[in-house]
Amino acid sequence: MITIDMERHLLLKDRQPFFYLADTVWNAFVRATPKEWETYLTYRRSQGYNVVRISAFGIYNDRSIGEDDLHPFEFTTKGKYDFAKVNEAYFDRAAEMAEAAVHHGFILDLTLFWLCYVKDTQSWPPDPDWVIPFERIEPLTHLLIDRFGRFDPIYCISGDTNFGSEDTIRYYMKAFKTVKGRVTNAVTTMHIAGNVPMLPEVFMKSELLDFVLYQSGHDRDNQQHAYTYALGFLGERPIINGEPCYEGMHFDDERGGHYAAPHVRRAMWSSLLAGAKAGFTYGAHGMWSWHREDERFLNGESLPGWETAMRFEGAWEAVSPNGCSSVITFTILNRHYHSFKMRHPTFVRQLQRMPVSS
Amino acid sequence: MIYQPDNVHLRLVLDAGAYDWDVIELEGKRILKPDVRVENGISTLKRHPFQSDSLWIGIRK
Repeated sequence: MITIDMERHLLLKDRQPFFYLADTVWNAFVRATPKEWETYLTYRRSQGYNVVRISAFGIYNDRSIGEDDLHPFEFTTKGKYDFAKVNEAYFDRAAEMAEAAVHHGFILDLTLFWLCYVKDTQSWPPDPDWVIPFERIEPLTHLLIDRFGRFDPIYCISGDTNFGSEDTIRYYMKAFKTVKGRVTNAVTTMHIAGNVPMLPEVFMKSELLDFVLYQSGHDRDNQQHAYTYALGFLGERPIINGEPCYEGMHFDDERGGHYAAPHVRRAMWSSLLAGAKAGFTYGAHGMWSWHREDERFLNGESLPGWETAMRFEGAWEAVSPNGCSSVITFTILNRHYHSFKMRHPTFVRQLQRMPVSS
Repeated sequence: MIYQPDNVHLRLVLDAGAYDWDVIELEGKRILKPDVRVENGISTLKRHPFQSDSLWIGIRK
């Protein structure tokens, strides 16, 4: 079970410092077959990863499409999810996948409500028919606790979200209170969008939120967010970069090219040494959506298949064995935590005042 | 511990001479002893010969 060390800003597992080293497989429950899932878990665990991040209901607005996909809900006549009619087969398979992950030694980071299912978010394309009615948030949260609670997941209340209105906050607060009201010692967090540098005050001031996940994201001209966002969150809670640039993703501009291992590495070290030292999340384009080579991606872009994406070089950057792994760094920072904590912000300000070296 | 995304001289307001430094070139995972100079309380970590980003690890002597 994961707990929080609020003094040292760390996650603990069995009361020992735990470096959250996650891989991103948002759509695994919708798309992965049991055989594929076993292949994936075996490979990622052999690399040293210890957390899998999955969207409980998948990501409907941004996904790969296959004929054998399972869906969490039945469909309405308009082709949208009917959030009152649960597809039990989906949750049976998802629970088996969660059990397999735990068996391999992973912690399940379960994202409850992806932004497309929540009111007044910047989900693209915007489609109110995908939004869960507010009165269904509490029962669906209970459903997820019923199905996955026995695996002691991290409850990530939101997925990739912004906060467009008070209703958005109301949705997530309802999910928070439902989880914390029912699950003793539940560990919670939120996954926020790349253009959201700070959580709304109501969450930052709330005891319902246990640790911070921010997203430095995929905008080529804003990769400094890996450290600027971390600095912004320095304070009371453990911090983790929950979505740096996805390896293999094309740059979102006209200049061409795509993110590769050095970009991932830069995001990782910039995050860790800016204070987001409780862990790191890796993401491979094609892996997160569980894409297959012969399938279509909803938003038109060509993606590598998941088996290719799984073997991208950047996944090794966080676990490189030659003395520079994030895990070793975590150990060092943890050991020297107090001096690191006091020096860092001052050190950054000093750097900013210094003239450029000739 | 310092992450250096680009290979440039780095100036620090601390006595870097009080530390033993290793530089890890993160592309090829090669390790070297860097050139560190201290003058009037300002330390200069000189550019290393590698192309890629690097991790500087200083352990107090």
